[in-house]
Amino acid sequence: MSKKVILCVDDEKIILDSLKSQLKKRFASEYMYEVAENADEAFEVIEELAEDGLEILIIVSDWLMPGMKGDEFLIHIHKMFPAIVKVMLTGQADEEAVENVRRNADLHRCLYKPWTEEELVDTILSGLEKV
Amino acid sequence: MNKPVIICVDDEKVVLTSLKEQLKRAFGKDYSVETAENGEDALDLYEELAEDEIEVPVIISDYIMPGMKGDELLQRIHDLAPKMLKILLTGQASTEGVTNAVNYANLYRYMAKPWEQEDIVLTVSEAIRSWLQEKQIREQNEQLRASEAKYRSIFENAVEGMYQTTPDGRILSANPSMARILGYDSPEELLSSVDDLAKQSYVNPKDRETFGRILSEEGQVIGFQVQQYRKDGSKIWLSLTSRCVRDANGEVLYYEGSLMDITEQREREKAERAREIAEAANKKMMESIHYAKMIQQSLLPNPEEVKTWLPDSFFIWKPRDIVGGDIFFTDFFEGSFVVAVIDCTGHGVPGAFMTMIASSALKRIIKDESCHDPAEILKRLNFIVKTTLQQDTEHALSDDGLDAAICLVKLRETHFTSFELTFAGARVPLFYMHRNELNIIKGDRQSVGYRKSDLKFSFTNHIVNIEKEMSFYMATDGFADQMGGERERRFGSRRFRELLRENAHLPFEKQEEILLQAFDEYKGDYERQDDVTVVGFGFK
Repeated sequence: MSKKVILCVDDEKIILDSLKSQLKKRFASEYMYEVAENADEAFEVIEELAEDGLEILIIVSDWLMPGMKGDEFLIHIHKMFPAIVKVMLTGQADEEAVENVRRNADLHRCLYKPWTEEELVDTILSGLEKV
Repeated sequence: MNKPVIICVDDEKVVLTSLKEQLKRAFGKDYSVETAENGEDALDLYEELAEDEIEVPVIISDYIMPGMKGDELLQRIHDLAPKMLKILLTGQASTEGVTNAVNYANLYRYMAKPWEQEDIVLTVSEAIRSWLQEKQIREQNEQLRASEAKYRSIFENAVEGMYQTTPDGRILSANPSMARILGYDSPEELLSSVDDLAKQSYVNPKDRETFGRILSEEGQVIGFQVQQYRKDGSKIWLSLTSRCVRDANGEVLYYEGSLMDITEQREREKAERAREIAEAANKKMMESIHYAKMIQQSLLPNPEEVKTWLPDSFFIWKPRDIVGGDIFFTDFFEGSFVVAVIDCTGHGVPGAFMTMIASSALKRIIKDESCHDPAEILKRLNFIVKTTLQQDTEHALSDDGLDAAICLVKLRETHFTSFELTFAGARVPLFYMHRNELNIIKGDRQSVGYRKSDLKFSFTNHIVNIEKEMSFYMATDGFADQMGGERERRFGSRRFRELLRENAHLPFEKQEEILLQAFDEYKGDYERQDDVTVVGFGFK
């Protein structure tokens, strides 16, 4: 039986920490929570998880990161793993990017910073229903 | 102690002397007798005695004296010492002087000169008796006042609430502590707010009935625990100690007693009891889990015993909890041996239950059925697990199973050196070092057991020709899945493989040590994720 993973991608450590602690608080050890600081690192993590036979259910990715932006990253992911539920974290002003992911990567939902714990949990729960 | 003094005043020395003589004879044992020849001297004398705190119960004064007359003297003495008993001696009965003395000096007696000795002694002894009586009453009153003040102070300052209440539920008196405990600003506020304790204060009005009944039957009640409302409507627990006060006919007048707020104490006790129960339950559970650990450990091969036929080997087995879902298995028979690593669903007690099924199934397959072919072992294991847990039926409750890796090593009988290894895996890979390279055989992407798996699934055998210096490793996913490091990420299989590769040339004991150390260092303060099992063996 493979373990289920939720992957969070953000270049700010504090954001990753708070995402992870909110997820752990709600879902405890039901899932494993992996993190990456940019798209390149995320691809590496995804590759290794796949190698080790772990299943990624949801990716929560920031939009504004050094290197590849969140919309482009999620579109890539969508091509490789269409079944993974994709969630983007973004500031208010990135509507074009959000629209891009919506059109091209079957975006599940967009979380606007600062998000609330409730919004995050609700997004993950509704995302898990799609899996 | 100086004796109290009787003062005699007369301008005639003869009179004074005889008076003094007579009085001394009669009262000398308990009283001194002092004399003065005129009013001024008498006043000075009195003042001196007063300064020395010597009491003067009686003064006997002549009326007609040069200078200050007897009535005036007695008036002035009266102003200074109202309690002193004053006796006026007079030759000529001057009505005016006696009247003055009676009116303004509270004259006790007047006596005509010449007096009978008997009379004067009787009069003075009466006066002393009356003085003594009054003094006693005064002292008693003083004591009473002092003791009342003392009790008043206890009542006002006590930490406990104190009260008097009527059987029909009115409060007659309450001290400040009682008001405070019940949430009122003052006893007055409490008294004016509550006129029916049962209805207004008791959370359960029946408690007041019980309280009254015990009091009327037994006269007192000690530590009666009852829940009451405070002024703000919040509930508190009180401990009441009371007695019943009755009149001469035995009718109940009121109840009086004290109360304490025991809310915190009760909550502490309740928490303590809950904690004790939880602790006892926990202790029992831990005992049974520790016992289960003993059983689980006795299923595992003893690594020391294994080393007698496979000297180059190590077996790391670290359940996350006391018992776990990982086990390893070895069996040695003529010319070959089997080594298996099993990772059952979950960890802790449920995992341990699964290992019991897996372990007994493996024994049945390998020992009883003499099946040594890894792929065939997995196939039969799958069948046994699924049928044991009734996963092949529609009403299957369990969706549990296991991942496994099994190696069969055939030894060349003549020289007792190995030559061939057969491996089959159910989602657990085999790693092996060959000429400084780490190779991996992934095994089938198929678990053993679980509801949706195929009852007749055929696993794949992989054959490796063994050369000298080769080493082999099988591990459950607990090692690679451990979270840790600087950013709380998975250890990962890449890092794990690198660790194996770097240290494969070392003796197996050393490899075991390095793996354990690397795991603990990476984990740091993060919690354990899963059971960890790593088995390594080789042919040096």
